[in-house]
Amino acid sequence: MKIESLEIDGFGVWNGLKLDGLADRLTVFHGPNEAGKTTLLQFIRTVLYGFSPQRRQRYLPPLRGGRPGGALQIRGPAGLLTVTRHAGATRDSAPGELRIATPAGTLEGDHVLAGLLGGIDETTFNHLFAVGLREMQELGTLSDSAAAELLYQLSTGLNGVSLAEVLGELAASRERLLAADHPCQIEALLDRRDKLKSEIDELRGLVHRQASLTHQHNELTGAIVGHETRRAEMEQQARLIEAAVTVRASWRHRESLLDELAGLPPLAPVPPDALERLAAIDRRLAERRLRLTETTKARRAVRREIASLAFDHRLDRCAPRIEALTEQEGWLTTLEGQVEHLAADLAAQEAELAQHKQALGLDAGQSAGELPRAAARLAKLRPAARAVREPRVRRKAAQTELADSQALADTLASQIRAGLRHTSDKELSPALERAGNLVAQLRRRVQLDERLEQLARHETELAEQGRQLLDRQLLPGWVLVALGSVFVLGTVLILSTFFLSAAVVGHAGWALATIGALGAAGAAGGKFLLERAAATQLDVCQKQAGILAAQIKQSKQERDAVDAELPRGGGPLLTRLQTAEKDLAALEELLGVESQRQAALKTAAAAQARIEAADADGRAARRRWRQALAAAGLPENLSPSQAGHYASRRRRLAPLESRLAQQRQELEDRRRELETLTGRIRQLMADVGLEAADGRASDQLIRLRQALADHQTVAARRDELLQRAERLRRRQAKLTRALSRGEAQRKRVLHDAGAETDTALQARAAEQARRQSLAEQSEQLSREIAAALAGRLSEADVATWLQRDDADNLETRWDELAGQIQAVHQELQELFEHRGRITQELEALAGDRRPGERALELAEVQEQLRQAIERWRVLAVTELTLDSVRCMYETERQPEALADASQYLQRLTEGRYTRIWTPLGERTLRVDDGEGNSLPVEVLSRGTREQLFLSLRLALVAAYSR
Amino acid sequence: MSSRPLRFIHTSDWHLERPLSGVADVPDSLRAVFRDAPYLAAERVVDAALVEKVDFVLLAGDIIDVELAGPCGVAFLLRQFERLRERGIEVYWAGGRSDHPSRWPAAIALPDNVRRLSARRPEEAVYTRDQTPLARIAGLSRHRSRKMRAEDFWPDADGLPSIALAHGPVERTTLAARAMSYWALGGKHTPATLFDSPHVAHYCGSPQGRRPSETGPHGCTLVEIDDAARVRTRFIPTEVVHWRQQRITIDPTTTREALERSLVERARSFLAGAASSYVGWPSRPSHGDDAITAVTNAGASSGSKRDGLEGHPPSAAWLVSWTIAGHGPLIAALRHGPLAAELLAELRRQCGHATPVAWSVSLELEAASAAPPSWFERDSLLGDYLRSLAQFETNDGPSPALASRLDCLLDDRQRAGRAACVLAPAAETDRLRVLQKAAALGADLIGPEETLP
Repeated sequence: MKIESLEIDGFGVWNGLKLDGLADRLTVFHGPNEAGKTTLLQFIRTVLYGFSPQRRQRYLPPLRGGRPGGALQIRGPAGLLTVTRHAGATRDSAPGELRIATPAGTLEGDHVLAGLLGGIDETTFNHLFAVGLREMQELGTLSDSAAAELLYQLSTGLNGVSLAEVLGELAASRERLLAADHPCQIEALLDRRDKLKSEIDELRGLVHRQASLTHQHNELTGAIVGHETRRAEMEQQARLIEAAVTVRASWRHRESLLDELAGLPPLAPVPPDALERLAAIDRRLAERRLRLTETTKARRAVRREIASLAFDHRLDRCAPRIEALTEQEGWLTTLEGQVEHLAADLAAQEAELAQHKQALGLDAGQSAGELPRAAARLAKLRPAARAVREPRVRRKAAQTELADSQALADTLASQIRAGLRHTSDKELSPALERAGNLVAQLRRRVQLDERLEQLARHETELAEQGRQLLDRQLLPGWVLVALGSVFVLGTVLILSTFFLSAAVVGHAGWALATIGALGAAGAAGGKFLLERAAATQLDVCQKQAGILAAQIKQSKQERDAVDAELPRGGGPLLTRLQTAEKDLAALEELLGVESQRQAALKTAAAAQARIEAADADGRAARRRWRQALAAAGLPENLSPSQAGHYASRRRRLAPLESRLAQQRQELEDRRRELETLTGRIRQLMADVGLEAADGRASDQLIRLRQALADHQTVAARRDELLQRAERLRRRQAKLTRALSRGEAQRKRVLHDAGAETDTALQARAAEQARRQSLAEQSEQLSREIAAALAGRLSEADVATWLQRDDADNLETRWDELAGQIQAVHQELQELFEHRGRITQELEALAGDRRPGERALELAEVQEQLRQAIERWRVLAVTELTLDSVRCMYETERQPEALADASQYLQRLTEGRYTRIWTPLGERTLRVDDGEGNSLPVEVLSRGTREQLFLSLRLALVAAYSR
Repeated sequence: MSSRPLRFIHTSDWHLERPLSGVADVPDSLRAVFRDAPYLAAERVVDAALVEKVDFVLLAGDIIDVELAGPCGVAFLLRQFERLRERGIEVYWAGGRSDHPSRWPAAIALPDNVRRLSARRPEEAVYTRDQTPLARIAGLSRHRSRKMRAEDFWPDADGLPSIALAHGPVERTTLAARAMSYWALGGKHTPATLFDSPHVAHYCGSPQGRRPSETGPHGCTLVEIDDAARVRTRFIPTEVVHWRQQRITIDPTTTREALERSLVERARSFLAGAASSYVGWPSRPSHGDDAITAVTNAGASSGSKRDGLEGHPPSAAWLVSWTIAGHGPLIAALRHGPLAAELLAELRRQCGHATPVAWSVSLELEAASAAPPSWFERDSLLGDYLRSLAQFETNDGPSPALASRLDCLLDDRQRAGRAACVLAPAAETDRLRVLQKAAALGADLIGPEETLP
C-alpha cells in the first residue's frame, strides 16, 4: 500500500490542502513548529481508521472552516483507490462516513480498506507505520501492539508463566532443601540422623550390661544353692535338738511312772460302778429326807393361815339376799334421779308461774282466770306508746351527730395546733398576720436593696457623664483649629477686600468680604453655641446627681428602718424571704382547716339543741302513757314493751298451772316407791350387822355390796388353803414310803461289792484309781512326745540325743546351731536381695524397647532424608534442564524480526551493537555490543535507543511486508 | 531309616534388630507394629516348628545383631529357643553378617538344644532319632573375609541325607556339583530356589518383608526328606505386615469420586481377603512383651485351631503403595495440584484405622502417565525440555553423570561437608526415578493445561 496523494477538506489548521505526486520511496515534510506536520499525520490515521474521540476533540471543527475530513489516494495490489472520510454531523463518537472509490467511480466496501491495511490494527499502524516522535522513544508502545508477538514469540509454550520465575521457584525450593548459608531441611534431617545414630551407639552397651548381669546372676544362683544346702542340714540338726529339749521332761517323767507301776502289789478289783451306784443311792436318800421335812413344814403353815382368816358366817348366809337387792340397784338409782328431777322441774315451773303473774300484775294466790280480757284496751295504748318511742329515736340521732361533729372539730383543732407548732402564737389569725407582715417587710427590704443598687449604678453613670461633660467644657483642639481657621480665613477675606487693590480682587472683592464675614461670624457663633451646650449639659447632669444622692439617702434610711423592725439573724435576705413565704403559705393552708372546724362546732351546737327538744317531748309522752295505763286499768309501772307482751302472757298462764298440778302428783308416786326399797335395804343391813346411816338408799346398797365382795374374797382364799393342805398330806405319805425303799437298795449294793461297809469299799476303789491314773499319765506323756515330734521325727532319732551324756546341755548346742543358721540365713537374704536386684534390672533391660524405637526412628529419618535428597535431585535436574533449554532458545531460536533488527542496528551503529535478542519467557529486549556484553535497553543512551527502536520498526515493517 | 520322614524348618534373616523401614511418616497407631513385626514373624516360625513337630530347626544366618537389637532381642531369642527345647527340638545356627558367633555374649548361655556353628571350618553333626542316625548336618557360619565355598561341604559317606547350612551368596553350578541333599542357604530376604533336582538348594528368605519393595511372600520353609532321600519343601507364610504395590488405571472419563471409590474398594478388598483367605492358625501362649502380645492376640483371634498351616496367617497390617496410570484430565490434576495428597488422606481415613489395618504408604503417578511418551515428540518447549533430560542418561555410568552435573549447584564447603550426600552415587532405579519425576515436574511447570471432567 502506497499513498500517492492526499486532499484535506478541513482538519485542524488545514483547509483545502491538496498534495499530489508524493515520491515512491521517501517524502519529507518539513516546516517550523505548529506548521501542521503532526496534523497531517493524524489526518492520515483518521482517514484510515476513523475519527477517534481524541482526534475529534483536538482537530474538529477545522479552524479555518471546510467540511471535516478529506481523502487519500492509495495504490494497492488492486490498483488506485480513493479513500474519503468525513465526520458525521451528529454522531460524535462515530468513526465518520467512509467512502472508497475506484478511478472509474465505482464504490467499494469497507473490507477493501481492511485488505489494503493487511489486517493491521490501528495500534500497530500507529506504532509502526505512522509513528510520532514521542512513540518512537517508547518501547512499551511496541509491546502493546500485535507486533510484540513478532518480537517475543520465544515465550510461546509457557502458558503465560515466566520461565525466570519458574527457574527462581525451582532454585528457591532447592534452597529450602539444601542451602549453604541458612537452615534447611536436609541439614536438619542429617542432624537428626546423626543424633539417632549416636543414641543407638550408646544403646549398644546394653547387651554387654545384660551379659554382665547374667554372669553375676549365675554366680549368685550357685552361691545361693550352696548356702541353702548348708542351712538345710543345720536346720535339721536344730530341729532334732529342739525336739529333744521339748520332750526331755516328759520323757523322763514317763520313765519314772513306768518304774513306779512296775513296783505295786496285786489288788482285787472293785466292780466298776459300785461306788457310783452307792453314791447315787445316798444322794437320793438325802434328797428325799430333805423333801419330807419341807413338806411337813408347809402343811403346818397352811393350817395356821386357815385359822387366821376372818370368815363372817352372817354375811355368808345373807349373801343371796344382798345379791337380789343388788340386782335392783339400777332401778333404785333411776327412781332417785326421777324424784330429784321432778322436784327441780316443779320448782322451776312454779318460779315461771310466779314471774308471769307478777308481769300481769297478779298476786301469788291469784289465778289466770281472774285477769280481764284486755285486747280492746291494749289497742288504745298504741298511740301513746308510739309517742313515747319517737322522741327517744330523735334524741339518739342528735346524740350521734353531736358526737361526730365534736370529734371532727377536735381533729381539725389538733391539725391547726400542729401547724402552729413552729410559731410563737397559739391562734391562727395572729400567726397569719405576723407571717404576712414579715413577708412584706422582707420583700420591701429586698426591693430597697435592688433600688439602692440601681441608684448606685445610675450615680456612677452620672459621675462618668459629669466628667465627660466637664471635659467638653473646653472644645477639642481640632474644633478650635477648624473654627479658628474659618475665622482667620474670613478675616483675611475681609481684610483683603479692604487692603488689596480692585485690580487684584476685581468685582469679587465684596463677595469675598461677605463670605469672609459670614465665615468669621459662623466660626465665632459656632464656638459660643458649642460651649453653651456643654455647660447646659453639665448643669443638668449635676442636678440629676443631687437628686440621685437624695434618693439614695432616703432609701438607706428606709432600709435601716426596715432592718430595725426585722428580727436579727436568719441568713441572707433572699433565703429568709423564701422561708417566710413558705411559712405564710403553710399558715394560709390552715385557714381552710379553721373554717371546717368552725362549721363542725356549729353542727354540734345544733345537735345539742335537738337533744334538749327531744328530752322535753319524751317527758310529755311518758306522762300521757301513764294516764293511758290508768285509763285501761293496767298497772302504771307497765312499760310499752311489757304492754305489748300482755296478751301472749295471759294465754300461756292457764296451761302452765295445769301441768304443774300433774307433776306434783307424779312426784308423790315416785317418792312412795323409793321409801319401800329404802326400808328393805335397812332391814338387810341390820341382819348382817351393819349400822344404817343417813343418806341415799343407793349408797346404803353400795355398802352392802362392798361388804359382800370382801367376804367373797376371804371365802375363796379359805377354799384354796384347804385344798393345798390336802395335797401336802398326800406327798408326806409318799416320801415316807420312798425312804424305806432306798435303805433296802443300799444294803444290796454293799453286799454285791463284798464290802462290809462303804468305807472299806471306798479305800479299795481309791487304790485302784491311783494305779489307773499312773497308767494314764504315762500314756498322756507318750502322746505329748509324739505331738512334739509332729510326725517328722521318730522317738528313736530323739532318743539318740536324750540318751547322750550331755543330754542336759542340749540348749547350749541348739543355741550354737541357731546362731549358725541365722548367719547363713542372713547371708542368703543378702544374696537373694542382690540376685533380685539383678533380676529386676535384667527384666528392665529385657523390656527396654529403646533400641527398636530408635531404629524405627532412624529408619523414618533415613527415608525422609532419601526423599528429600531425591526431591533435591529432581529439582536440580529440572532446573538444569530448563536452564539448558533456555540457553538454547536464547541463542538459536530468536525471532526473525529481531534478527532483521540486529542487522539494521549493526548498520546504524556501524557495528558497535551487533545483536538484539529477547530472553525466554520474558517480554524484554537485550542488546549485545561488539564485545559480547549483553545490555538491557534501559542502560543505552537516548540516541542508541532511538536507533534500536528504529531498527525494530524497520524490521517489523519488513516482517509485515513478508 | 524311621518310617516317619525327617522334617525340619529352614529359616534365616530374622534381623530382629531391624524394624520396618521405607516409610517417612509412620502413624502412631502403627509404630508398635513397625517395631515388633520382625519379632512376631520370628515367633510364628517357632510356632510352625512346634505345630509341625519338626526334628530340628536350621537358622541360616542374620538372625539378630545383638548390639543393635539390645537385651530385648536377646531375651526374645532365648525365650524362643527355650520353647523349642521344651519340645526337644534341636537348633543349628549358622551365623551371617550380623550374627557372627563371636558376637554373642559369652556370659549369656544358650540353651543346650542350640548349637552354634563355627565360621572357621564346617562343623558336622549327625541327627539321630531313637538312636538311629537320620541325617548329617554340615554347617558353616559366614566368615568376615572369606566367601563360602561348596568345596567345604562333603556328602555323607554312608549315604545318610546330607544337609548343608550356610549364609551368603554362592555360585549355583558349584553347589549343583556337590551331592548334598539340601542346601539350606541364608542371606536373601526373598525366597529363591537355585535348583530343585536331583537335589535342592534354597534361600528361604526373611519371615517378614522390611520395606515397600519387598512385596512378595515371606516366611520359612518346611523340609521333608523321606526314606528314599527325596526332598520336599513347603513354604509357610509368617509375615505379619504385608507390603503391597497396587496399580489403578484411569481414563479421560474417570472422575475424582470414581477414582476415590475405586481406591477405597481395592483397599477394603485386602481386609476382606485377609479375613476370608485365612483358614487356620494355631493358638499360642502369649509372652511378656505387651506390644507383641497385643498384635499376636489380634491375629490369632481371627482363626480357628488347626494342625496344618495352609492359607495366610492373620495379618496385623497391609501397607499399600498406590500407582495411578492412564491418561486424561485427572492425571493432570494429580500431577498439578493437591489431589494426590487428598486421596491419600482419604484412604488413610477410611481404611487406615481398622483391624487389621490397610495403611496407604504413598500415592504416585506412573511415570509414563505423568509424562506421556508422545510429549517427547512435540515441537514445543515442553518437548525440547523432555528431550533435554536425556543429557543425564549418558553411557559413562549414570550416577557419575548425574552427580557431576549436579555438582555445580554446590559450593566447595557443601561439597566437603555432609551436604555432599546429595551427590552420592545412586542406584540405577533411583536415577531413573529422579528423571521420571523431573519429567513430571517439568510437565507440571510448562506443560499444557487440562481441565477436570
